Amino acid sequence: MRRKEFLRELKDELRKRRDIETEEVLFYYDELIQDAVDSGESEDVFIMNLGSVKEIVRRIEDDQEFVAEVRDKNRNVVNDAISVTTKIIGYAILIIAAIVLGSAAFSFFVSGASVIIASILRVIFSSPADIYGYVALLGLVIIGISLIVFSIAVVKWFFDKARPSLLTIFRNTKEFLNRKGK
Amino acid sequence: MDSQQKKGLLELMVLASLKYEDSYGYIINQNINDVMEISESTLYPILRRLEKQNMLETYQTIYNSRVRKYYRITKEGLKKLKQSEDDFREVKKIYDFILR
Repeated sequence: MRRKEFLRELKDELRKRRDIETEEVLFYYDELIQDAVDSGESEDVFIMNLGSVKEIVRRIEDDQEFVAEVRDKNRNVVNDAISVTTKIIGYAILIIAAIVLGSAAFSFFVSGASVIIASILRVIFSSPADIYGYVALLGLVIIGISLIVFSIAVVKWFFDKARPSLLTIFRNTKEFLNRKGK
Repeated sequence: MDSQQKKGLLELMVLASLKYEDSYGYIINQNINDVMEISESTLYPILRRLEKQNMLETYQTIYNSRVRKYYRITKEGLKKLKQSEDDFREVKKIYDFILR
């Protein structure tokens, strides 16, 4: 039997099994036969000694379970890597959100406080001439209070929402440091 | 020798045959056949097994204007080989005792 013929038969046999990498097997046997011929062996005898294509495929199939097992193991490694990446991205977003919201809340808080303090100082050091001046200052104080309340509310909301994630980050970091210590 | 045992030994023989230099299917087959008679169809599953376990890696070269796949032992493979060498030394002592 000639090489081409053998490979065609092998291909047909492999086609029946979807889980075997057909091209790889064909490549292997193609190379093997050509190397044998190049070393002076008879093509016909060598191919005959390879045995039937059914036997070849059966042997690969026998090993399939093992290969699948290894592959699953590798896939788990990949999955773990992906989930770690997703987590890290999630944490990064959370931390950025904390910084943005935190600084926004801080600036609201500071402007609220400074408006209130400015109004109080105004009353103490040069009282407004009439009732309208007082009303205007009272308005400013109310704006200041609402800014402060708003900033506190934002911080509180964020912590309520993010507490589970923050706890996870905290726990994971601690675990990671412990593991590194060992 | 039962087939599972043979398979395990064959894996180690393949690793051992690649310990000092990279090689390709036909030559690996020949090297092993010098010691243990195997049919040509036995080797492919073994090579694939070892590759999937990251004990071997492959690369391709051009020979006679066709592609040839070379196998190279990895660090993992060398580790496995070293470990089995130690095991064999121990077993050899036992065999020597039995066969004396």
